[in-house]
Amino acid sequence: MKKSNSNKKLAAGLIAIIILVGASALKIGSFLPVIGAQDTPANSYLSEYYISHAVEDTASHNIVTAVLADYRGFDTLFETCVLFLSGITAVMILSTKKKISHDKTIRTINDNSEHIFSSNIMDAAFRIVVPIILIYGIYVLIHGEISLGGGFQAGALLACAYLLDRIIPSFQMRVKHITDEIALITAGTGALFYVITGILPMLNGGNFLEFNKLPFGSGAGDIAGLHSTGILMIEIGVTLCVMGIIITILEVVLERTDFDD
Amino acid sequence: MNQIAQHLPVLIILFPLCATLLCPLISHFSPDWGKRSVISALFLSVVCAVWQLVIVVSSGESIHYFLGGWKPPIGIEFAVDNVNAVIILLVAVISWTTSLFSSPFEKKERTRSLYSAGYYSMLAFLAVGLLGMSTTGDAFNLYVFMEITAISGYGLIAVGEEKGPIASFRYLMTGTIGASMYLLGVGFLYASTGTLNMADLADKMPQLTDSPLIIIAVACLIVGFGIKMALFPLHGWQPAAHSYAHPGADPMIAGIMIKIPAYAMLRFFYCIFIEDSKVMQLFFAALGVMAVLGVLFGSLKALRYDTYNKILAYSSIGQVGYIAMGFAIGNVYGLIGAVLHIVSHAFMKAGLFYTSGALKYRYGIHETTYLGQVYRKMPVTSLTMVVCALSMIGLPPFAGFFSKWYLALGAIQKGQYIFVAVLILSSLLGAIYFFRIIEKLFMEREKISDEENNMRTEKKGKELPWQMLVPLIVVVAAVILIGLFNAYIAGDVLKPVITEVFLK
Amino acid sequence: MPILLLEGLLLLAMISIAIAIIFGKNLLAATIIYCGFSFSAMLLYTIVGAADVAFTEAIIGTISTVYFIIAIKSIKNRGEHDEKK
Repeated sequence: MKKSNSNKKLAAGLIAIIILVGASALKIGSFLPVIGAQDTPANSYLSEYYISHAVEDTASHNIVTAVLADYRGFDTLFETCVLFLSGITAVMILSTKKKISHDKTIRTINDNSEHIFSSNIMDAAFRIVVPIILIYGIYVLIHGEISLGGGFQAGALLACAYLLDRIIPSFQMRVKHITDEIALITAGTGALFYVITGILPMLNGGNFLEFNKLPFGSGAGDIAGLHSTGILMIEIGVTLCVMGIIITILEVVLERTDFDD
Repeated sequence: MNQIAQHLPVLIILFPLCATLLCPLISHFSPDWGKRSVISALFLSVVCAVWQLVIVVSSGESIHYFLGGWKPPIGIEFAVDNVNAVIILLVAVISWTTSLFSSPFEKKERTRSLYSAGYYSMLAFLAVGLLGMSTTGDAFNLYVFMEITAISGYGLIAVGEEKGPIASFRYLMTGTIGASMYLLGVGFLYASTGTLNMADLADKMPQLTDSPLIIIAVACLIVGFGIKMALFPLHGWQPAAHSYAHPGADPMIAGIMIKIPAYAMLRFFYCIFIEDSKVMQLFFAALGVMAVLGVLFGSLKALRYDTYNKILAYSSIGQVGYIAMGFAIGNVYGLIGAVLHIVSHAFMKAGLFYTSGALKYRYGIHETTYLGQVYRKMPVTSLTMVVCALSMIGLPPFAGFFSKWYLALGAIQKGQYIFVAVLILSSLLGAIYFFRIIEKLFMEREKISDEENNMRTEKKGKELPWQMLVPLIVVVAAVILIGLFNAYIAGDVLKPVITEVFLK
Repeated sequence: MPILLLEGLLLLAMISIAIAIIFGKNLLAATIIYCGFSFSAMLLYTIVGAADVAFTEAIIGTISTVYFIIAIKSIKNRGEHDEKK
């Protein structure tokens, strides 16, 4: 009786807090300028500069990628480092506890039992879907400057393919399991590639991450081509890092899980 | 040389960053070299920080470094002046000594090469995050570095002692709310001004002093920074987190991780917002109330406990209250006192946590009642403990006295005598619990069980390994030197910048 | 403050999903509903005009749902069976 009473009080208190926060958010929101209006400071000062100069400065039609990887590329470097850091933290916290020992490192299915129907379909779907995901991932990476995409999405897509292999029971072993250490090293190498792309202009007389002074580039040697090369190198680094981290966290969590289905 | 000198602000961050990204790879082959690469990278950062401080103080003007070659406000910039350079040097020194200090701990606990690499990576990332927070001149960049600091803090607390993961989870929940409030504040600032660069925001502020968005932004920023700093009503995560962190990383967590958000609050409130307007005066008054309550709460709660780490953690709440008091006072001496207190308290608290870690490493002591006559076997540790405790109480030749002196001077100049009264009262309370610890150190224990006696004599009377002695000596030297040279530091290094930049 | 009908519906859906997750008893069901939360957030981002963010949210929503399900599988007391200790 007491427990349900305190539960009711907790529920009432939570709903009161939700209503309070919601009402204050609505009131505060009435002060904010309308999204997309032309005369607000947020849309007229820096945004106009980015919109009008991004294509000629960086040869990238996707202005979001230009701002993310070129004008504010330093922030993106540390966002990638945050991902790497979260992978390390996950490994340190989760993998010191007891591990479930899987006596079969390969989960194979014998030719009996009730799984046949579901695993036949999943097997066929797997064989068709995974190459498409992999190619789509590389496409998103390379076209980050022209259409939607970029490094983060590409890395997540590439890791999705590995994820599919790990969670579907199969007829035969397909991919050797990547240990968490190797995945972490891959992620670190990706982020290091990003840092090296930033250090290269420093050796050539520019500031950190200044693509104007990159020693090699694509295009006819004009400045925008250098920026384009720089952005591509950055995105490759980010892709490697994101892919490595998603695989790391997956491996670390899978070690401690015992599938009972 | 000049080539390197012009890139100094970025090099200080790049050395630990490269080391930490390479650490898992190097440790895969040899864990010792992974550890040594992090330690040497942090040492290079210390050297660069000293060089940068010399350049900035001797030339008298601030360094601006444009990342990516884009001029602000289009790109991100690093802005280093005197106050910045001092705090960057502080963070670099304490990071280096802490990484040295944790190497015996790591050797003892190493089961797999990945764990050693992971621990040192997290430590170096904490250093990178704190160094970046002190250097940057862009509001969103500060948020990214604050995230790096926070996540490495969560990790280092979670690999600690028995209740580590629970304390870390609590810190995670409150820390995320704090970071979100900071992001909301920056979002409102961007919506009203259209730029994220700190110097540019300062230019646009005079036209906007009374707009309701700015008032809400300031409130969100106070809550955000308050949670990160462990200011009085928002301190709930702090005692558990500081007591149960990994003993090798605790000095850094307790020493500098809660101070750098205070420095960022100083930057925002005095460089960006107009401090003379009515609204800001109201917020400073609220800050003063929270500071006074925090000082009293921290000092009183610390009297209750016997666990060494918990006493130190509650005393930290009081010391952060002093810094907030310096901000609330708001004239030259108040701000000098606040910045000097950031520097000196970082060394003092780090020193005390070094001794706590040393006692745990040698004897496994957590409670102060078991401390009897440790001074015979560990003289350097006892010397550090005595020096740092006397400095925290506020006795003259040490650094702690001078920062409290400047705070009191600033309060008297403004006529706010309640701050002076709170300062004196809390110093007396601090004297009570610190003298209690020092007394236990030198006196005989009430009862010594036989096995404990054997354990002590069996350690063959050794002092600590050299990696743990160097940080203790550095801290004692720093506390004494800051105390002796405080006139130079306050007058020639801090005062010009504070009068010109912070108090226009 | 102008707000579209679709935006309002999505926001209401998000609030009700959040309340359902907090007060629900079955952890596995909560995870599946969290996938719906992620989906409505993605639709909201598309309506506001941030297409890159919506794309990223779609992918990350899938991956994080998988993580949650794997993690929940290792908890014994998921609330599936009524009052069974």
